[in-house]
Amino acid sequence: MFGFEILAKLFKILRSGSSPAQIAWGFNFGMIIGLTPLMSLHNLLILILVIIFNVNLSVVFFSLALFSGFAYLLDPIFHNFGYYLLTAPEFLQGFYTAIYNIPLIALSNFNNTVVIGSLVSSLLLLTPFFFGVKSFVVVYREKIDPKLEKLKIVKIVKSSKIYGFYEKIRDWRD
Amino acid sequence: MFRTKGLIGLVIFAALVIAILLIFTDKWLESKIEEIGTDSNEALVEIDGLDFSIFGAHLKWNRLQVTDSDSTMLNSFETGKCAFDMEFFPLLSGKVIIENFQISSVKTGTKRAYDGAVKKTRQQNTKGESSFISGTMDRLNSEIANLPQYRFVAAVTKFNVDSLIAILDLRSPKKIDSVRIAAQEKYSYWDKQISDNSFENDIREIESKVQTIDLNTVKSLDKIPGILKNIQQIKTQSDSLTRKFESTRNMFNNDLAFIQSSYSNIDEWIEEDYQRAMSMAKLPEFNAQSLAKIIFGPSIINKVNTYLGYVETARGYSEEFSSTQPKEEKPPRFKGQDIYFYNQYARPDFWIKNIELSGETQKQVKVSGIVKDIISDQRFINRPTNVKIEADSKDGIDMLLTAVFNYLGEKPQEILTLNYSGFSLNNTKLSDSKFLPNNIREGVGIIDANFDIQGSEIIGNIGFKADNLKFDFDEGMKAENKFEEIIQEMITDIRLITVEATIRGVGNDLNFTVNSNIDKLLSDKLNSIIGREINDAKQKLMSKINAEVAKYKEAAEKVVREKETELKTKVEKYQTIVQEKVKLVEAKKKEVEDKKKKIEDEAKGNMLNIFKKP
Repeated sequence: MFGFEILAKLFKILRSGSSPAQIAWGFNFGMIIGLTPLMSLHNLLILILVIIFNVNLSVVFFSLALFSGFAYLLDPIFHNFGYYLLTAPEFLQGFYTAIYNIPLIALSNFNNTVVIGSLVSSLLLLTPFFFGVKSFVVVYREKIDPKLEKLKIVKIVKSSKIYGFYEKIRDWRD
Repeated sequence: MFRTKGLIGLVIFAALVIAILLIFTDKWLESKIEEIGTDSNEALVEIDGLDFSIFGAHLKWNRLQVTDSDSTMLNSFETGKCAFDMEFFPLLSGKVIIENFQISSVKTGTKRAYDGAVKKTRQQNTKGESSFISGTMDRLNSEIANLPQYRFVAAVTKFNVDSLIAILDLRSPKKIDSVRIAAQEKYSYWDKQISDNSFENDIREIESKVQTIDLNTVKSLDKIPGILKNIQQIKTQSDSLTRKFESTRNMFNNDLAFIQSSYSNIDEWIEEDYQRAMSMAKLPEFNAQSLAKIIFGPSIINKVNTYLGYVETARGYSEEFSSTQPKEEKPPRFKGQDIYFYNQYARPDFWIKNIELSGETQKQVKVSGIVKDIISDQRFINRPTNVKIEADSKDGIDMLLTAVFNYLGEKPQEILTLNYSGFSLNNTKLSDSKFLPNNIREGVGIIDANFDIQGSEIIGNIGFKADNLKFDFDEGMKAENKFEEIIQEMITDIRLITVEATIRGVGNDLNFTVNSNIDKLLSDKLNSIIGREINDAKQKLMSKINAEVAKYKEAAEKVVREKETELKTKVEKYQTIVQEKVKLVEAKKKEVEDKKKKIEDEAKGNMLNIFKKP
């Protein structure tokens, strides 16, 4: 039931009034929070951005849940990448040393291998994911959704008692 | 684009967070400090009544308890009310800098209300220089683990030769038997060779050929060359026989020598079996040095390792902060590894400039001390960490502990000195060893210790003196065996015990020695009584092995005795015959030559007579 609800919610988001850019930003913000350690200073900043800007919150939570799973799997890679970033590039050492001693920035825990590894990785993924998700939403709305609506299985599901029951609950919750 | 409701929500959320922080920071900080402290102490660290003011950068607590990790129902120490101020602005960079930290009402060895044991999770630091410390600790532990301890008493009293021989599986009988079989095969071969009638035939042929030459029938010279040729042929045949016989005899003698040399190993094999039996029996040898280690080694090592544990922790932190290229670790998931960036013009991550402590132990000993510059990286202040703790009491106790942790140079260095005198030994035990089992009823102790650890080199001296001693024999100390009787008899008269321990080590080389005034006394006594029993046990073992091996040895020697003599006799007999026949041929040859000469002389005479006749 939970999986079904998530899937339904995802389809609902894709068809909702939110613009593709709002959905894409929500997905990216969720991705950053999901991939990086939750209790980090930069995540507080992301949270503020999510609250201030009109991004789709449902997508943020969906993306956060999705990428939290990836974060567990990718943790050793983030550690290695972070270790490389913090130790290997000689030209960055001065920069790191300077910001290490700047109040508040030092509290960001950037000198932790997993924090910097995952943050830089998610920032690198930001642009392709933004345009990728945005394009997907446009394509989905224009081409995939109308086809899906015409599918027999969708019609059967929609006419089923379970879906009717689900809709009632959803309306009641809304 | 902006979410107005979101902005209002954010402001409310921020206000809530601040309120929650103000209410719950103390609890959160308290549990965080307890967690970190417990983790590094490997036993509970608890703080009561912690109060933290973020704006005043002020921290205080009512009580701090640090559990003794070796005895978790006791606290190593506890403090009363403590307070200190931190510098505010460095806190914004995650740096903790404390000007002066006064710890009062320090009490040591206090009882805990409940057990302070925790599951040990801290991993040993195995990096760089500090791995030398853990390596030294391991080597010291193995020194003690490898000592014979008390087992020699059990080894002597429970020594069972038969069961030992059964387990031992003696190797010498099998070896002796294989030598006997090999010798028998050789003897059979030579028996066959010598009995073979090839020599006999040759001898008989030579003899008959010689006998066929009858010189009485030879009257003229014309037959002589034919006979001489015949004699020469017989001589060639006899020479060939001699060579053949000599060659055979040499081979026979070589084989005999080989058999003899195999037999000469028998005693060596028996000795090997005996040595193996001795090593399995583990009958100990006594010397003063090993006894001193057995008696005092474990408690010394225990205390030294506690100190080395602190050194290892200090070095671990020092390495973490001073390394320009930290080694990549394998941290648990989501934990990562913190990389430290040093800037000489910045503030250190952690610095307690001054700690002043004062308090009293359970035995009314007043303790005071100063610890200066506990710092994450000594390069910031270019000073080492210094510790000085003093204690004294009305009863004459006097203690001075100084320590210097210097991580400024290329090699880390720790120097520690301890002078502790006048402390009571009443109702204590000097050692857990069975060699010194009694409690001390009365006594006063003095300790002088110093350690200097530089890089991978350790030099340590520990001197201990226990004076005015009276041992306790009252409670359940009735001697149960001869061994305990000796110990009790001996320590009755001991009034002074001195112990000198030294630890010297470079890298993996470690030398740990312990000397004591009672070593010689004990070892002489034990060697004279227990040593005798050990010698008896050794004799018993040797006799049993000899008895087990004797039948094999006897069988092997019998083969040699019988066959060798028999074969030698045969060979000598043939040697005599061959020599006789050679002489016979020589004699015949001479006889022929004489005959030839005689005929020639007669012929010459006849010729002269012819010329003389008119």
